[in-house]
Amino acid sequence: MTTRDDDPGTEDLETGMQPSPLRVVPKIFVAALVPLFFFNSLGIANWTRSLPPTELHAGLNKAAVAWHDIMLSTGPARVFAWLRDTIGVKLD
Amino acid sequence: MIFPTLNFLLFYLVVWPVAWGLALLRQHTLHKLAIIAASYFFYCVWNWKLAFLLFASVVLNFAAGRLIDATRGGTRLWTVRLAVAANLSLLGFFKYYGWFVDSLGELLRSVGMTRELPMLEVVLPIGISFFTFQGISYIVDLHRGDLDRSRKLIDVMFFISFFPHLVAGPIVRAASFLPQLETPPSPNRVFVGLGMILIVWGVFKKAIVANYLAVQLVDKAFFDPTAFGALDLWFAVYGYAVQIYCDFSAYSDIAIGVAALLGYRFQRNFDQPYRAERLREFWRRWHMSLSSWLRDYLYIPLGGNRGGELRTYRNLLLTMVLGGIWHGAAWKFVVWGALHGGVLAAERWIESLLPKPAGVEPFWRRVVGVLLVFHFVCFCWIFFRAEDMTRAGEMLAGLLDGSKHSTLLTRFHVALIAFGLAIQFTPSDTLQRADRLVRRLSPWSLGALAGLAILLIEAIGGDGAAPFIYFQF
Repeated sequence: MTTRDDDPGTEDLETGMQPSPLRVVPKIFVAALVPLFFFNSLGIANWTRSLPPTELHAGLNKAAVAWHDIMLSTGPARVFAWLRDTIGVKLD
Repeated sequence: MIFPTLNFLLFYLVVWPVAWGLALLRQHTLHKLAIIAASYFFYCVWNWKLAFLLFASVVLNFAAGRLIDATRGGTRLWTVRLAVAANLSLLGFFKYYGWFVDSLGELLRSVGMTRELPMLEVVLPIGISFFTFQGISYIVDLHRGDLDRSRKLIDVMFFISFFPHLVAGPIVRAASFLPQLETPPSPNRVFVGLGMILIVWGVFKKAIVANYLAVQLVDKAFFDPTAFGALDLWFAVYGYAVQIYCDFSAYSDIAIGVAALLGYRFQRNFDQPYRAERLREFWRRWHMSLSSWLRDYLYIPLGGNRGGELRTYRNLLLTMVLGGIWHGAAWKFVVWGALHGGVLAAERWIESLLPKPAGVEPFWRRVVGVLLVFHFVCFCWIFFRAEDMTRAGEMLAGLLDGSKHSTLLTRFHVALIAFGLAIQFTPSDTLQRADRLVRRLSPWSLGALAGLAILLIEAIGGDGAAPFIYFQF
């Protein structure tokens, strides 16, 4: 336990950092999501499969599977599968 | 809904533009309402019925705040006491009722009395320990004058329910958070570098380090310590020390990052705890929002170090035992808290006997200090992690039993543990340095880099994420 002089937990992490304008964030989000969308299309397809069974979710799943097929045939999903096989560590 | 999942990503991709859109349109009330609605949605995904309990906690603290503002002297003090008692009763009933009835039943049986005690199936509401403590912070900060006045219901709701900290902290203080709700977040002051670094770093610590150590080493060893050799068990204990750090600090990092991108500030929650040279220092670095909460709302009101040495030791012990019980309704947490409290008191006593060192301590003494504190903390983690006291005893016995060979430990586990310990000793301004690097990148490059990092983590770590350890508290 600490005394008040130690003053833990009150330090802001922002100390010594520079804020940015909000307008940069959407660009960052888009740039971060694109690789996931293209390379991990299997993850999206799996996620839509895990949703509760409704007509909307079935439609989503169909679209996600179609997207994954395109990514498989054009390459990005295969690259990710190869990466996974190469560096992935199995959880047992 | 847990952080590093596609569900949360989609949720955040809806909440973020709506919240900022309303803030930019100067619709501050609507901005707050949108975040509150999102927070309740976040909570309802887990259990919608218990969202009423969260709301009840908000209303209780809001009403008590109004009463504290409206009263003076003894009435005000009694309002504070009743409000704190009501918060603790809520926590006590949902978290400790079952444990209390079980323990009472056992006690009665041990003295030859058998009674039918009223047993209820009480669901433990996720995050109750965190939002109750925040409610108490609101009441006490108001009473002490750290918070200038009671706030509107919408602000109290926002403060207690804000989704980044709702289920596993950090425990945000009313006095530091509520002033942030006076004006809309500024679009010119978003700590983007901090947010992105903490989110990616948090996902890495959780998805790779914590998950693998948990599944491949720690869970197996703690499930049946008698089945493994001493080397496996030693590394399982070290592994758990790294796992719980990487798990809990990851949640805090992601929470701080997610809040930062929405324009809100949380306090730091972890600061390389395993580099501590004293146990007191460990508690300045570990779960800082809890340790400072316990200090300000429990240790100091108990008298702190103002009533002489013996009273200080008593207060330390009591605070840490209660801090242990806060983690869960089980005797193992009492033991964990009592060990920490006892050694904190002993450390203080020993330091009072020794002459104060002049200047910086020699390197070797600092190394010995780090090793001693780390191993003591690991020893205490055994009680914290074990299923019960019997299993903790088996673990301790196994650590000293050299008759079995190692069958569990791999180089990969050792590498993960070494990594988890190495990151405790990086320069204290590592985050600032990383921020300076990140700021050199264009937004597009930063985003692409973050996306690729997440992709790599996913490739290594696979789908899904285990629940965070602190969800159960």
